[in-house]
Amino acid sequence: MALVRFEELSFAYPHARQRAVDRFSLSIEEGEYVVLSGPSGCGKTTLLRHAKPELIPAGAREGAVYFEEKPLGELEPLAAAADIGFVQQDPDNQIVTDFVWHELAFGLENLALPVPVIRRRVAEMAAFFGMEPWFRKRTVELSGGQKQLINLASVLAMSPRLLILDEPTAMLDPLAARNLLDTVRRVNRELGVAVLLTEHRLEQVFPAADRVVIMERGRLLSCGAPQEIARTLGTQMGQSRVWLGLPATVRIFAQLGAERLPLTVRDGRMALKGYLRDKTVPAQAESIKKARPIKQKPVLSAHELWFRYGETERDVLRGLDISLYKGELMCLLGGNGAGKSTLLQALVGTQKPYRGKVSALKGEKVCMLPQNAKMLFVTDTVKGELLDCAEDDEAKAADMADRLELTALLARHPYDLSGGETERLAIAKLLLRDADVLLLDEPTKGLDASAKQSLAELLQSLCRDGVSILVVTHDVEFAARYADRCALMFDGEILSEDEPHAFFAENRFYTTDANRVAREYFPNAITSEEVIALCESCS
Amino acid sequence: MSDMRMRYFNNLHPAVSMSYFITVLAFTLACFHPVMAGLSLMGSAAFSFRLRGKKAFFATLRFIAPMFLFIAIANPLFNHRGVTMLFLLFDQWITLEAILYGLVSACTLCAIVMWFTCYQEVMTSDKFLYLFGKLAPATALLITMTLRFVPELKQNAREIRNAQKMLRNEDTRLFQKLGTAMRNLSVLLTMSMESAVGTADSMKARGYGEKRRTTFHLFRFDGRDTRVLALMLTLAGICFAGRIYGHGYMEFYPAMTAAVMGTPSVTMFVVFGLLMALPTFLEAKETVIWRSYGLKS
Repeated sequence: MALVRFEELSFAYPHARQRAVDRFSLSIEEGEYVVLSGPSGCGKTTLLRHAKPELIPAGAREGAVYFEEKPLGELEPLAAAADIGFVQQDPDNQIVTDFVWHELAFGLENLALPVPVIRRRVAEMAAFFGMEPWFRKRTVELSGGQKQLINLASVLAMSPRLLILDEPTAMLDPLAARNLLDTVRRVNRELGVAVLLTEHRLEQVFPAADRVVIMERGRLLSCGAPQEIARTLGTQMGQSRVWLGLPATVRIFAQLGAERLPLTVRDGRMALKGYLRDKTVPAQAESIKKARPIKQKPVLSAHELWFRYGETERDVLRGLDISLYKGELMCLLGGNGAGKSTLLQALVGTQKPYRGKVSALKGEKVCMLPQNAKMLFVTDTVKGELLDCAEDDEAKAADMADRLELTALLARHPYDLSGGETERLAIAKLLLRDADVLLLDEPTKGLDASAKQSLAELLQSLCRDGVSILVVTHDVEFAARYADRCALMFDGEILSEDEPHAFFAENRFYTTDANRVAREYFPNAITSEEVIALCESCS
Repeated sequence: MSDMRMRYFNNLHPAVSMSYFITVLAFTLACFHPVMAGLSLMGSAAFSFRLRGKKAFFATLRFIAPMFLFIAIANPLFNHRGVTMLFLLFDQWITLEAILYGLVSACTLCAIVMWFTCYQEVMTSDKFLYLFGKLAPATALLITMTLRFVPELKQNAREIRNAQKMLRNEDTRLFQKLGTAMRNLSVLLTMSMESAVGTADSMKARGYGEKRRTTFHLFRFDGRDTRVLALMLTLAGICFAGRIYGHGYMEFYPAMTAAVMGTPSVTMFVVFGLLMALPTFLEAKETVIWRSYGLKS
């Protein structure tokens, strides 16, 4: 008996021309781990909401969803709330109460359980998640990753049999994301809870999943074990937008025509060894390098910046030097708490360093794109947003819309845009304000692979037009592929900076998956394309 | 919350701490008497100092001291009742009764303010909600949600202001400043409303609104609570009896009644003093115990 079964489900939002979900059938067994993937806007969230009675959207529906062979609508409300857990994207707005212990108990309070029972369940959850150190903290004091763990724990405290997660890591940095996904996997393995998850970071969930479902334009495209899916997508490479999101190892070996596709770096290294066994690797694999932009005076530079948030607090920036040159795309990498976001604020002037100096070239306007780009939006249409910054000059706004591919979206509400579109609109607004230097804080957060690619292409074209861009990111793959220069920040200082190939070749762990797989043979190759090209050149 | 100092009184069951504060306030108000008011002020000041540390205590003192002086001086200046006339000031008699009455009023009022500073430190929102949440679970939840929401709102407001600086130059003229503030506020509202939709979903998804909910808490009524409550009730009982028989209370106008009426009055002062010193004593005991551990190791 299937735990949950979608049967020929179709759904359209009111006034929508297209169906968001189109004749979708799938059944999930007890204890299964299913990953649902697809480009943004393909109907994943709509589908997931149909499996949670309280969240079913309003609109025209055909087909049905069954939970243990009972139509979802006929479930007893409290049982449905407990049996089906749902975790959303945003870590902040799911939290209801002010203390961690209270949040963990929220669902159980709603079930009207007696206090001693709640006490035990909450204790069990806190222990399972290792939350004891922050059990009595206020929820506002926690990091995004911790908040999302609480959301997960609070749902699990109700002991669900099916756990649905809608892009739970979209707002998290990679470290917190990995932690959360590991926990989800533990929940699945150790507690036997069935998991239905949507996720862009396929390299994280691919090895863990029992089944992967690919969805496109509301339809089920393919469904099967990760291996099979990798092979199916591999044969029709480039045709699906999902392809770009596959783990680097899969992409490399699918292109090389390998029989079995490795899913992890470890397997990838073995497979590469096998592949190159009877081939001669050129002694000095040609070193690849991007042309450096000619060094002139930097458009934006900081000299020996020292910064702390309060007189008695620790130093966040410790004598930091950084320069950004005209027309370059520079990526600043580094772990959590290295001071990256603080540095951006110091560069743009919203925080004042207590020693050292930030100087911009005369006439260069420095603008920062906040992590939550919605903070720049003030009207209710995309067009209105553009006009707001173009002094109501229609032609100028239309021009910018054209340049940033926003023309098709002009009538939409800015809050209805996808992640990538939101970033584009925000950048458009800053450009209309004559920004010459853009500082971007984690622009790739929550973007799927193809949105990431189009954002990168946009940034590169802006650089060609003379805009200088500094991106703070955790996304190693993004930096490797698109940056002109990379810098590593640690403990308030810049430790190293170089052109990406040299930069990553020097690192041992902090590097791309493709480089990890191939560094024994091709230390300079950092993207899967480069590894593929080098492999194919071996005879 | 991060303060990990030993806090005996803070860790008592909320019902015990709440009854203590109610008792203390009731007696402070009911016993209008120089000794009683003085004891209450001393007790509250000692506890406030102990609980909140030097810096916060002196900050409170800075506004309590002028208040004390103001009341103590204003009463004899404007109130001329009383029979013991001391001297003439601006053609008005200043009386001993009025001076003493002013002093006692000032003491009482300052004591109440001091007790409230302690109350705020001890009775945090979660304790208050635990005590009164059972009466109105929905209201209790609403308060909890508000307490979470406000700091987040402040944070967002600050970030929005910084973000909007990228689009608009900060203008110092009043009218423009107001315009910018309105604009930022509308962004904040839109964002908050959007986030409220997510919160509502998350509440529904966890079964909110299906049944009358229980209110969870982490408090336990243990042996220590029983002992402190018993001690407190004994002391309060004695004071109550004393007050019924007219001890620890004075009339000032037109003439002062006797301040001390034999041994029972003195007993009552001692007992009342103990009651006022109870929390400070409990806290101090804890520190002494820890120091002695330190000596042993």
